[in-house]
Formats: sequence, C-alpha cells, structure tokens
Amino acid sequence: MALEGSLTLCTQLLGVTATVGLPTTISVHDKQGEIYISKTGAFTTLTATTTSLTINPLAASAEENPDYASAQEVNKAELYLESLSDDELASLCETADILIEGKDNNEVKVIKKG
Amino acid sequence: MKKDRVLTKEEYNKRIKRCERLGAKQFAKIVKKVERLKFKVMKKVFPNYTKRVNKLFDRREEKLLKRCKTEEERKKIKEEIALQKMLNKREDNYEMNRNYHVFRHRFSELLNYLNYNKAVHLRGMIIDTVALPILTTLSFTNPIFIPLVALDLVSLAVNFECVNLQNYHIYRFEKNKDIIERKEQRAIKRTQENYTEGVKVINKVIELDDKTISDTERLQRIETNKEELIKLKELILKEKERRTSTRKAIAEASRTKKIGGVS
Repeated sequence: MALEGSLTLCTQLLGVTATVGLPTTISVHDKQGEIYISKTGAFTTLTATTTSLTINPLAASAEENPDYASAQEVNKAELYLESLSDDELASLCETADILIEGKDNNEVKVIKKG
Repeated sequence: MKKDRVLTKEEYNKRIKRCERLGAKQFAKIVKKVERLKFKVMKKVFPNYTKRVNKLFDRREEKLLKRCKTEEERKKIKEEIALQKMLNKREDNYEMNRNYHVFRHRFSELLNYLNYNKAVHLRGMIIDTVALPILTTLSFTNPIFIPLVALDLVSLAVNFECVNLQNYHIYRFEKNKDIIERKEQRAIKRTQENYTEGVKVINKVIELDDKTISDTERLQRIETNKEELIKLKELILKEKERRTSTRKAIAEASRTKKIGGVS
C-alpha cells in the first residue's frame, strides 16, 4: 500500500512538473495519513493540480496506526449511540461514570498497597 | 453508455433547475410536514411502535437463521438485522426519516437511500401508468371504478413528484460529490483520532451476542480500561449535545414558521 501510494505520488509529481514546465520545488509530508503539500514558486495552477493528489486518508491512517478503529467501526458506533433512547443514553453514561469511579478506586488501592 | 458519462457542473445545474421547475422544492416542504405528522401520530397512537418492530425483526431473524447453512451466513444475517434495528430506533429518536436526512456527514449513506427510494417510486409510477387506461376503460362500463381512476391519478402524481425530488437531491449530491466525500472522510477521521478507544468499547458492546441483557449490563460485562471508558463517556456526551441541538433547531424552525403564518 505504501509503495503503491508513493508510486502514485511520484507519477503525479512528475506530471505536475511536466505540466508546469518550470523549476518548482515541492515537498510532501505525510503525517498520520494526511498529506501536506508545501510548494515554492508562484504557480497558482499548481494548487489546482495538487488537489488531484488524493490518497485515501483513512487507508493511510489505518496503515500507520493499527490501533485506529476502522471507518466501518466508527460508523457502527455512532449509529449505535444515535439509536439509543434518551433514557438508555443517560443510563449508559451513568454506568460509564460508575465504572470509571471503580477503576479510580482500584488504582488508589494498588497505590496504597504498593 | 450515456449513464456512465460524468456530467459537468453546468449540466447538473440545468438538471437541478429542471427539478425545481417541476416542483421539487415545494414538494420537499410537503414531505417534511408529512414526516413531522407521521412521527407525532406514531408516538401518540402507537407508543410501543419501536418495540413491536424490534419483535418483528427478531421473528424475521429466527426465520432467516433457520435457513442458514454456514456460520458466516448466520453472522451476516445477525449483523444486518442489528443494523436495521438501530436504523429504525434512530429514526424514532431523531424523528427523522433516514431517506431524507443526513446523519453526521454520512452523505454516501443517504445517496444509497435516495437511489433505493427512486427505484421504489419509479416502480409505482409504472404500475400507475399501466393501471390508468385499464381503470379508465372499466369506469365506462361501471361508475364504481371512477374513484379508483381518481386515486390512481393522485398516486401517479405523488410518485412522479417523489422521483423528481429524489433526482433533485441526487443531482445536488453528485454535483459536489468530491467535496462532500472529503468532508465525510474528515468527519470519520476526526472521530478515529479522538475517540478510537470509545469506538472500540461500543463495538465490543454491540458484538456481545446476548439479547436478554441491557446495554448497561453489556458494558459491565466487557473488559475495559479507564482511558476507554473516559472516551466512551465523551462520545455519549457529544451525542447528547447533538441531539439537543437538533431538537432545538427543529423546534425553532417550526416556531418561526408558525409566527410567519400568523402575521
């Protein structure tokens, strides 16, 4: 995936340079799947061309951070919360609070024992 | 071949204007009013509607599971039924039909519904068109069929306006597809980055295959750490906020309309 992505990027960049036809410096930073493109040279056309540089940010983020939940999981979780009634949501929040409190107490106990 | 061609923005604009000329905007207002009325009536007349529908889903699930041969098929059916239940409950909570409203920037989800809806109303239009000459001929032989002709004409008009409205929304979506999809991905990514632990807890709760226990009991049964629970709470609070703001917006919209109507 990463190789495929960088190959696409290279060909796109070559295309950009060819289109512009003038010396242009482009630096690409990939941070958490997001691609930031900084450019030097006053070529407004370049801005339009760089919009085609799209590598699925979700795929990139999932690849870099395996701990990330997938997009499908996010959608499912959001839908689940939306489907709960007001009372159910309130009681779930209350339970989460109680469980957090329980974890806090356990931590305090461990510290005391330690 | 023509269908596969990507339309230009100007062509989309033309089509959108054509839909507007055919009454899409006015019909959308009627649809919204009918929607509000539907939920009001449902909550008064059938307060246990969601529970009953859930029971129907359970029965359907049982039937479908009996036919399954592999474990994968069983899993798929269970997931599908759970999804349908959640969608149904969401409609009830927000008092919004899934066919006409975007939930949390999930535009692609709405596009699927729009296309599905369009297909349903197109089928209706074809049936009405076929029935119209038959009923008209029959009405000459017996006056009993005259009201049926009138009903068929009304149904034809409604189906036509529905298809027109779906087209209006589809064109508007497809015109700005790239921007909308990017927005959708950004929204998902934001949740991934900020609440991934909370999302994972919810998915564990959903996957716990025991219908007899409540959601809170499910949460107590699964293994969680403090970080995950904090993120889960944040997600719940965010959902609560969204719900109140949506309800406020709906109430304000109807209030301003009422004031407008009086003056």
